[in-house]
Amino acid sequence: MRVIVDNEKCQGHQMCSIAAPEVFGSDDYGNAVLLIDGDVPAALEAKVRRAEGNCPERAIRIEA
Amino acid sequence: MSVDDARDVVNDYDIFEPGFVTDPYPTMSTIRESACPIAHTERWGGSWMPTRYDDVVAIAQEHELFTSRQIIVVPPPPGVAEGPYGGVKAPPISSDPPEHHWHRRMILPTFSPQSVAKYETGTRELCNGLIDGFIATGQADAAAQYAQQIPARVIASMLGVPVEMSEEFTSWVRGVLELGLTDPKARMENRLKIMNFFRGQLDDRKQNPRKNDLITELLAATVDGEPVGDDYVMGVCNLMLVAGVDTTWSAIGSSLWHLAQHPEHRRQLREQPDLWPTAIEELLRAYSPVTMARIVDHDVEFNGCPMHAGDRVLMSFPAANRDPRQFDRPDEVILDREHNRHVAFGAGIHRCAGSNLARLELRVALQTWLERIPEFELVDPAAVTWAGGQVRGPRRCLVRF
Repeated sequence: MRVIVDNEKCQGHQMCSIAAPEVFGSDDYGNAVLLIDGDVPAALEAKVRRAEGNCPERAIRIEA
Repeated sequence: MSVDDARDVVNDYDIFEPGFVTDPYPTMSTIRESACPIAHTERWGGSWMPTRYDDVVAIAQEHELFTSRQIIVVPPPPGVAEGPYGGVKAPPISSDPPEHHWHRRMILPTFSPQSVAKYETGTRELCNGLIDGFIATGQADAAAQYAQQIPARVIASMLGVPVEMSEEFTSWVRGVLELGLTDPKARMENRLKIMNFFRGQLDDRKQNPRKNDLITELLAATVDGEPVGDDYVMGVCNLMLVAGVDTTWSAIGSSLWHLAQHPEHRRQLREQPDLWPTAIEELLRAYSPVTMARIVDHDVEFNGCPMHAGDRVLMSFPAANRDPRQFDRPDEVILDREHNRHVAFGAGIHRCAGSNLARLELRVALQTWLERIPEFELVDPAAVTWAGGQVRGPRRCLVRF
């Protein structure tokens, strides 16, 4: 699984970092940044799906 | 509700009707499931009220069509003088692009999760101190003696102004956002008090700059080489007070009102502390306090509604957050709700700038209460009073423990 944050859509709700703090952090302005490179570790996939399903701006995309 | 009643609310809703203030959700549901899910009223200066999640989010995101020229749910009456601070607004909430971009970017670092984390210890001490004051009596007003006391003090410490001012802050903010909604004179009087206070604070910082002080830093800030200006700094202070007090206090109060009636949720939070992050989001969803307004930029037909330039649209985030099209069992509080794209903090470029601080205050206030007062109940459910309109939450909420 790969995950992408669309920085044009992200408005800094932080819902992703609440759902999956191992994968999503925030920059100085509170917008989402990815904390991992490459594939999402299998153990975190459920959390990343949850992050995707909690973003009000639909700024997170999951690619299988 | 009969067909005639439904026809009434979709054409003639009244956000200040006492029944709606006390429990708006049945009316919101009636509108949402009617043929006109974007209701209209001529009351209070006239407005549209979308109730479906997709409509509210679309309007929030289309900031060029739905502008922030006015964001208060009731317009100021025509011809009323705005006084000496008429040009001072509440950036960035009252700003539109292109200024909105720097108006917002300037303050976002102050409210990032990393920045607000330093307020956690102080907020916990504050909450414990409030509880110390009433725990021996076996009962307390969870709204007035607890929830109401927290945000004004946190904001005062952020702004570097005396915490003893918090009672006055609360009174001014209520004067603008509660009493002032239907009483323009009170709104202006209280707005003037806020502005005069911050005028004095700005003058003081110019004479005596402080270290690690938000007002001092904002006064020294520049955009494209130019100082941001006093009006901007005054506006930000105004916003922090007006947007940061009633709102968070309402969220804390509603959540305690809920927990007072749900022993199973109190137990869940006690036994599974890792539920807190989703529980906070769920309480924010279910009891979203804030409704903002937008002004339509130009004539448009939006989802079948003939909207005209200058029309007011009420962004009912509380209604959006109970839409069954978006949320499974929307009227139930499910503390471990898996998918929760709630918009309690809005959506689009005006997403609440203080959301991370609000979350922190809400979590610390509820955790501290439950640690000290694990079991409690409403003294009389019918005696709980609510404020509504722009910000909905309990104002009197007596509990015993």
